[in-house]
Amino acid sequence: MRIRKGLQWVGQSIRRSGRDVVLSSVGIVVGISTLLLFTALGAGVKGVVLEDVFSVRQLEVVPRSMGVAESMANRLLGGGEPGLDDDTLERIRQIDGVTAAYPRMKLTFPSSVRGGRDILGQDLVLELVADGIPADVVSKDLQQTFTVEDCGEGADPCRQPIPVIANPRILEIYNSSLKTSMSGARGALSKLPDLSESMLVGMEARAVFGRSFLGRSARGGDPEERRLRLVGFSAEAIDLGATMPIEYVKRLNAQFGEQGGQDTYHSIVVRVGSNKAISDVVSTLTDDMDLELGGDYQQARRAGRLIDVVTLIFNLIGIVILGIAAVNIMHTFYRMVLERRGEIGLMRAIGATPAEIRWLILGESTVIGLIGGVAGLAVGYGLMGLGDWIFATRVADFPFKPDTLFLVEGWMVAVALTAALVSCWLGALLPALRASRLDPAEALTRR
Amino acid sequence: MSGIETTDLHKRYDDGTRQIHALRGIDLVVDPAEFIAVVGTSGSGKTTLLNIVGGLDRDYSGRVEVGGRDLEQLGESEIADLRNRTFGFVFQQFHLLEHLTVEENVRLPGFFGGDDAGDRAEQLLEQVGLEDTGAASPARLSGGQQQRVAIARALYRNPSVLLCDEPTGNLDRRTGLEVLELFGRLNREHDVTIVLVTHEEHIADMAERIVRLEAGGVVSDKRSDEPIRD
Ligand SMILES: Nc1ncnc2c1ncn2[C@@H]1O[C@H](COP(=O)(O)OP(=O)(O)O)[C@@H](O)[C@H]1O
Ligand SMILES: [Mg+2]
Repeated sequence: MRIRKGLQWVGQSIRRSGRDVVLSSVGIVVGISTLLLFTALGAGVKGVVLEDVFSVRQLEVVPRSMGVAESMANRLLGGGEPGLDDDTLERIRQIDGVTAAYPRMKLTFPSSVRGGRDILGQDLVLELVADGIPADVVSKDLQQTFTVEDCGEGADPCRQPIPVIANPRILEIYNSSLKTSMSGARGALSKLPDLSESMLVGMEARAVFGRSFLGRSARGGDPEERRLRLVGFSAEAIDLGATMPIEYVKRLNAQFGEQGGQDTYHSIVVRVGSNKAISDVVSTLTDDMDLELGGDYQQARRAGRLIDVVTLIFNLIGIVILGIAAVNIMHTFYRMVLERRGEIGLMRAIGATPAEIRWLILGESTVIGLIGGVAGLAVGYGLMGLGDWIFATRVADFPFKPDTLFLVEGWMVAVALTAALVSCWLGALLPALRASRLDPAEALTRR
Repeated sequence: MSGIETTDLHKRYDDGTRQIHALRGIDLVVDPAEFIAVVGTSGSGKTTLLNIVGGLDRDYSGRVEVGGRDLEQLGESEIADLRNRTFGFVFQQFHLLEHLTVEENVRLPGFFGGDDAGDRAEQLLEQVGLEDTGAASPARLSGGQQQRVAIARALYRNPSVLLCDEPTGNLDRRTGLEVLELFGRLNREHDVTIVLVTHEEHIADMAERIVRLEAGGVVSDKRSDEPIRD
């Protein structure tokens, strides 16, 4: 039997069983639309979470944390802690897919800061947490200059204030939480004003490097007092603290910090050009270069995995529905084979082989699979449109609110159609085998 | 032109509780272009014999040859091809597919087997006297007309043998005779071998040879002195 004739036969045969086709397809439609909907939802939400919320295109590399034994061995052999230096930075910049990389270095000795009288009515003295980044990473986004003042060779530590930037999250935390929790405090602190970036830019405070509540620099020497000047806010700044041009940190660490500490960075921020490149870059960093990735990336990974798990659960539901649909198809086809005993006997009498009977029945299930699969995709798309519309009109705006929750890719459509076909074939397989094994003589005499 | 020969043909049914010895050593030779009637009471083994000869029932002992070929030696697709090209089957229940038109029913054998000799449906319908019914649903035809559609279908691949199992069993006497006449004409004009199984004596009388079965054995084999004429 030629393919074309087979298709023709299947067409003729399936025309009559409209009701059975519809009933058999319903399960497939539900299963396929569920599969597509939740796979696309998972992919869409993951895209939003990873790209916008966690911005995984920016990775932070930290030195690998060592186990105790490893660390001791390293010390005994005089190796010192593994560090991130200019050499590492250069190698990272060479990785394919990396568009930029810059270092961060923290102050490695006790320091404190005093200030805030203008706003709070009285000065606060705080432990100073600060780090440094290359000035050019942020300077173009700031209104005020964020550069290293050239004080001249051998000059007294220059008397210009050190420019610092802060993270806008500090303001959010202050405005939303701290102010409220201080409202019951004694005195001026109970009436804290709302703060905005523009109110704060330009403010100055006094820092003492090399001494704080917690202790003094191990290197001894006199603490150094310097003015700090807030020149702007940037997401690149340290979360809770102040970020200054990295040259200051290097110089201060050389003066007050651990020996040699001015040459090792605490982390390197890596920017990746595309989402596709991320996993390659990550594996180069972690496997080839033996580095570790900072908390944000781990969190994003965890969030990504959580979304994967939820997607998987819903996909399992879709697969269970498809399984039920397959069982339903099996019942329908068993009934059809029974009803068509005489017809199957006749087919044998006019020249059909058992294999041809089998293929014709599988052909009918293929048509059901295609109809159900395509209808399922259509329903899935419809539900996505509805979902996006409800999301856009009924859900209040929130940060990172996307235009669509769904991301449909070609492979999802292919997988969904394949799943529809496979479940139809599985359902029709046993009935088709039974039909092909019918004794034609008996089938024709309808005993 | 295919002759049929059975040698010591036995058939046993085993329905679990008891064995039925349905055919008990049938030796029968049917020559090409013969019109033979197989008669006998219900249960005498006529249908069983026809199904074995037609390759629908392959579970027997003894030997069956069609056109000199031992059926036992044929594979599944060869036997299917035999049913498709050498034999045409006509049944008591016409086995027409009601979801198809008359013409589509006639064409059904064309779906199976090798390449087509061209669409003969219209020509065959004319031959059986149903020229204007091609587009109709078989359910709208009378019993006699339906059986003639089934005959046209059996003839679609231009077979050399028609195997007919009680073809008039569902028809009234007059219609039955009309169908019989059609067989006679096919036999005379186209040299189609007709093997006609029936329990109705007056139907068997139309054949040139009558083989009588009783309890699975041939009890008589007579040539009629006066073969049917128009
Ligand atoms: N599939 C079967 N299973 C068991 N017994 C059968 C089967 N088919 C026929 N028989 C038995 O074989 C004998 C011959 O049957 P059959 O060939 O149908 O006779 P006829 O066609 O002459 O009426 C009967 O006794 C019948 O009951
Ligand atoms: Mg019978």
